[in-house]
Amino acid sequence: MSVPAEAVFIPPNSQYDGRIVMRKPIRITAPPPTPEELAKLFPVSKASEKAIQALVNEFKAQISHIEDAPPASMKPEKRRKRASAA
Amino acid sequence: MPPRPDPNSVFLNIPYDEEFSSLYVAYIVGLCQLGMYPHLASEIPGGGRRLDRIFVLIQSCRYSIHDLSRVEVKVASTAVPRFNMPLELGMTITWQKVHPTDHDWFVWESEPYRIQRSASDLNGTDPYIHNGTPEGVLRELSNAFWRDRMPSVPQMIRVYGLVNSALNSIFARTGTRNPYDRSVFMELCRLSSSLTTYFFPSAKPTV
Repeated sequence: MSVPAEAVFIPPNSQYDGRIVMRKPIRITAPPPTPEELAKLFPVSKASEKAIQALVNEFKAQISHIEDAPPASMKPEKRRKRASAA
Repeated sequence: MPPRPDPNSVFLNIPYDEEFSSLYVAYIVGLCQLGMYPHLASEIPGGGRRLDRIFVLIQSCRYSIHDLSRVEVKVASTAVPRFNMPLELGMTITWQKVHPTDHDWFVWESEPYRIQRSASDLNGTDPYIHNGTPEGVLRELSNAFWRDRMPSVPQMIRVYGLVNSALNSIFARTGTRNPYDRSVFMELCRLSSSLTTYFFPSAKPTV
C-alpha cells in the first residue's frame, strides 16, 4: 500500500483539538561565528582567554590521538601495516 | 518595530537551579557546537523591569527553547511550582503569533506525556524529550536543528565532558560558584564555541 507523502497520523485522543505541529528539524543556513565574532559575542578577561586557549590546545591533542587510532574492526595485519606506514 | 532577530541566536528559558546545571552546560555546548549563540535572561545588564528585558531578548532571538521539566510540585510544604518558564513561554507564543516569520519556539521536557498533564493547551506541540540527561539534551538539539555539516552527538558529548570538567576552574577565575552568572555563562559559551572552531572544522558550512 502506498502512503502519500503528506499523510499525517492523528493520535486517537478525544481531547486532541486537531492542531498539528509536526516536529521537523530546522535547517540553519546562517554561517557560524568567526573567532573575531566570538570575541565580541562572548567577551572574557585576558586571563580567561589564555586559560580557554590552553584547554582548547589540550583537547586538540587528545582528539588527534583518538582520531589517529585505527578502528577496532581493523584486521591485525592491516593494523600493523598502518602502524609501520606511520 | 523591533530589529530583525539574529538568525543564529537562541533564547534559553530554563530554571536557574543547582540540579539543572549539567543540563544547562549541555544546552550551551550543544548550541555552540551547532554554530548558534545561546542567550540567557541573566546576561542582560540591570536597570528596568526584568520582564521587559526578557521580552527584548526574546525579540532579538530567532529561536527559543523552553525547558518545562522543572515545572513541578516539590514534596516540602513550603515549596511552590516554578512558573517563570511557562510565563516566558506564553510571552514567546504571543510574540510568535504576531510575528510568525521572526521566531520559532520549542518545548523541552524530561518525560514523554508529562506536558499533556502540566499544560494541556500545548497539545499538538511535540516536545523534545531529554530524559533529564546531558546526552539527551545534545541528542534532542541535533533533532531540532541541523546544518549541512555538523558534529555528531558522540563528538558533542566529548566536548561536553571537557567543558563540564572546566567548570571549577571557571568558577575560580570568575570568583563565583553560580554557573548562571553572566561571567560564567560568557566563559562557557566562549569555550564551547572555540572547541567547535578548532575541532570540527568540517562542521562549518561551505559558504
